[in-house]
Amino acid sequence: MKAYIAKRLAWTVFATWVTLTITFLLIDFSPISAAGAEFVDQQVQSGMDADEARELYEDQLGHGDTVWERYTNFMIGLVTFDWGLSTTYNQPVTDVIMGSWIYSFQFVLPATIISVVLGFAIGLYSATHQYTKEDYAATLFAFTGVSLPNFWFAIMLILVGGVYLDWFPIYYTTNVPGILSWENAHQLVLPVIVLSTSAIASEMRYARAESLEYVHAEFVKTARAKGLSENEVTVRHIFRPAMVPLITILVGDILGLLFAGAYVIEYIFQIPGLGLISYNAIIQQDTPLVLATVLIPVFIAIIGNLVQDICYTMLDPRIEFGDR
Amino acid sequence: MDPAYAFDENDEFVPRLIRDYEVNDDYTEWTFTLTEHGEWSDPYGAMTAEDWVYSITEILQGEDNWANASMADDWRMSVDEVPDGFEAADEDGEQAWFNVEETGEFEFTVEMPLPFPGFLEEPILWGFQEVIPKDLAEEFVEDQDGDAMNEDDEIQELSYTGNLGAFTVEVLEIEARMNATRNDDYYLRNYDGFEDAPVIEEWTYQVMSEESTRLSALQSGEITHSGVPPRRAEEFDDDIDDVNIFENPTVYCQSMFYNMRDDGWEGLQVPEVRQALTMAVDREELVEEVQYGYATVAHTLSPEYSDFYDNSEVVEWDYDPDAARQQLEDNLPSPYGYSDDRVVDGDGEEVVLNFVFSDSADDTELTARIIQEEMDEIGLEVELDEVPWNTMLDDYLYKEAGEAQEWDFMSGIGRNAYPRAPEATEGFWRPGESANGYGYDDPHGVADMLSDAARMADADERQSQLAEVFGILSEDQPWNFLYFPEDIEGYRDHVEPSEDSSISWEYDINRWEIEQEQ
Repeated sequence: MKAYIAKRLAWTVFATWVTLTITFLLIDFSPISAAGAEFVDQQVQSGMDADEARELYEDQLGHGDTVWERYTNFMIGLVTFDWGLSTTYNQPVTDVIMGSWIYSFQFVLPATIISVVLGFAIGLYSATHQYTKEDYAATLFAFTGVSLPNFWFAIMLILVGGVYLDWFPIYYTTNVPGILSWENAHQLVLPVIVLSTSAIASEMRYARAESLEYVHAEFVKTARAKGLSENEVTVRHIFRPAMVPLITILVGDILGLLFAGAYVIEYIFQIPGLGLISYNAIIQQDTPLVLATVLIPVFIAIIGNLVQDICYTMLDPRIEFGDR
Repeated sequence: MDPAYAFDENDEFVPRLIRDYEVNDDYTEWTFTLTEHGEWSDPYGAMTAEDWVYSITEILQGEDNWANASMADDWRMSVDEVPDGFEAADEDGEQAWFNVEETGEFEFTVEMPLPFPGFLEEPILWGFQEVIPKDLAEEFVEDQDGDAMNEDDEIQELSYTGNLGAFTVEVLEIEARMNATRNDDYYLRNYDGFEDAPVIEEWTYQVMSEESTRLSALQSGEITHSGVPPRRAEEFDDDIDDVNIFENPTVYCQSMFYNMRDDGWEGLQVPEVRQALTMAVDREELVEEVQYGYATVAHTLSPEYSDFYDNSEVVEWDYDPDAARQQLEDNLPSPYGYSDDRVVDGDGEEVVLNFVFSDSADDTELTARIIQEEMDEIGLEVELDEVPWNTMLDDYLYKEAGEAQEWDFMSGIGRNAYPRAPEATEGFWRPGESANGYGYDDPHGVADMLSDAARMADADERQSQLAEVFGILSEDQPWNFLYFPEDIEGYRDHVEPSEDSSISWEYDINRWEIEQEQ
């Protein structure tokens, strides 16, 4: 198993390097940023030559080197944990990330827990009660949840819950007594609802489909014939084998929640988390910050896959590393 | 931190850090007097003329622009020959630095090699906030280290500003929120009428990128003020009782540029053709359909409220598609002409013009689509090309002909008309300047006329010269001047501004009354 983990870790490093290199090149060769264009335009209107203005902008950003120098400087910095200075935030990139992840985590974590627990529970119930009214209702909920665009749903919730009912704040502010305060929880209700709704729906559909494979399996019938209660049959003989593929989905889902859903939700509710920071970094072409915000999901994806493989063996002893 | 000075709704000088000014008869020497009550944060002491002169001469006019300052160009002037007593600002001796000297503890002078009557109104010292304490700047000046200066915490966080601003920053979260509380030592309190300034106790600036979130927050009272897009202005004005709408004129002219360079359609180099195209566009309709009435039709690069706009000089091209079509037919350069009601080239192929516009706002796309239909009515086929704003500038406008992407019309760029000092638009018309990226060849010498006006000490003469410039531009139509949009500001109704709507909106915000919201 040690050799396997070492091999996987080496693969992790290689995959991360490839991802970062591609991202670096994409940013480096992309057209001038909106902020850069605005700067150049202002200088040109003041009488400066466009080429000079571009050069001045590059100088102000400290981008005066060649692509190769910029690339090697960045990679060396990355390995030595000198991730550079964010030009948008005028802070070291690590400080920006350290100051922002908690804002994402505080609504992504509850949304993930809610969606996994409720999604799996409803999916399992739906599978064991196939073609009942409850199953149809759950299916309707799932399709509605998956189909609702987060962007639209968030704005609707703001209008109904914030403007008309006046139950919830419309936007997120850091001006609260603390992360664990009631005020903070109150302003996170709408983001958590938006994020968990679509996630519950997808978890539920997966859980239902995977569980259905085992509902009519021979060993389940045997378990029932042995006189086990319906709950025992559902949890031990249906849910446990269904968990193996569901774990795979779970890793992907958490990543999706964090880095796709969070982008939209943090933008609309103005939550200064990783999604909003990454969005601002891309818009401002803040290369060190874009690369750092790319690095994090890459790490989570790769380590998540590792954890997922280890979970496989715990849930299904038939899977061994030696077979790979 | 306060600006050097401001202008009120009548364009009168409003003292701030600079309390007074004097200028000599030929407008070559300006003397500015600073407030005596300005204090930097500890340990920098009083704000004096020495700090101002040091910041201007050592940072903005610093050797080889070591600080990478973008305002350096403001502090020099083009000359035929650098006169005695002035320093050359370039190798060719075609630019001279202004002389900036301390003449008293709170007084300094700016001397120019040539008269500069518009210096006060041009965006050079007006709004100026680039002064920092000499003691803070010295270290960076000695090392000529611009990066260190830009990254310095005190400079980044403006923590040196002491009593020079109405508020003290308590929380600064970049791209998220800034919170500031009333500065009880505010220097302006030493002056009549400002004893209680600022009236506002606490001020929070919250970044909200999403428009619907921002407007919902204004509607529910979670925020006090937000800009309102034109399409929602009437709703907020009429249906939401707790919000007041203020409409302010702007200085920005929304236009459609014509590509008159070698890589644009040849027809666009003919003034009569440009006039025809301007006549083909119903600008009143654009004001109504695109700006919901919150704009004024533009006829030249000057709003009508400017002192330099003269009705008797400006030519107004009214919407008249039939006349436009006739004028186009009569003035198309060879070998272009009409065939089957369409404009064709020498081979009988239909001419297709490329209209590039910015994707940054829906308004721009709507404008482009309306213009496309109107051009079609006069037989001109126009293809639309929607691109990001930054790409449009960098790959189309500011690239040399031949290297740039193909375009004939361009819109989505607002241009400042500088209504107080229009000479600042000189570069828009000067052939070869980057700001004239569309290739206007300036046959009437508009750029020189603006340059001359900037040196005219006689106010009437200057006014007359500038009015003539705007007349020429309206006739020559180097751009299709579309409209001047208005800024629409929504405030909760417990805010009572002390000023009238103007391009200077919020210049007196420190005296606005704020009642407790019920």
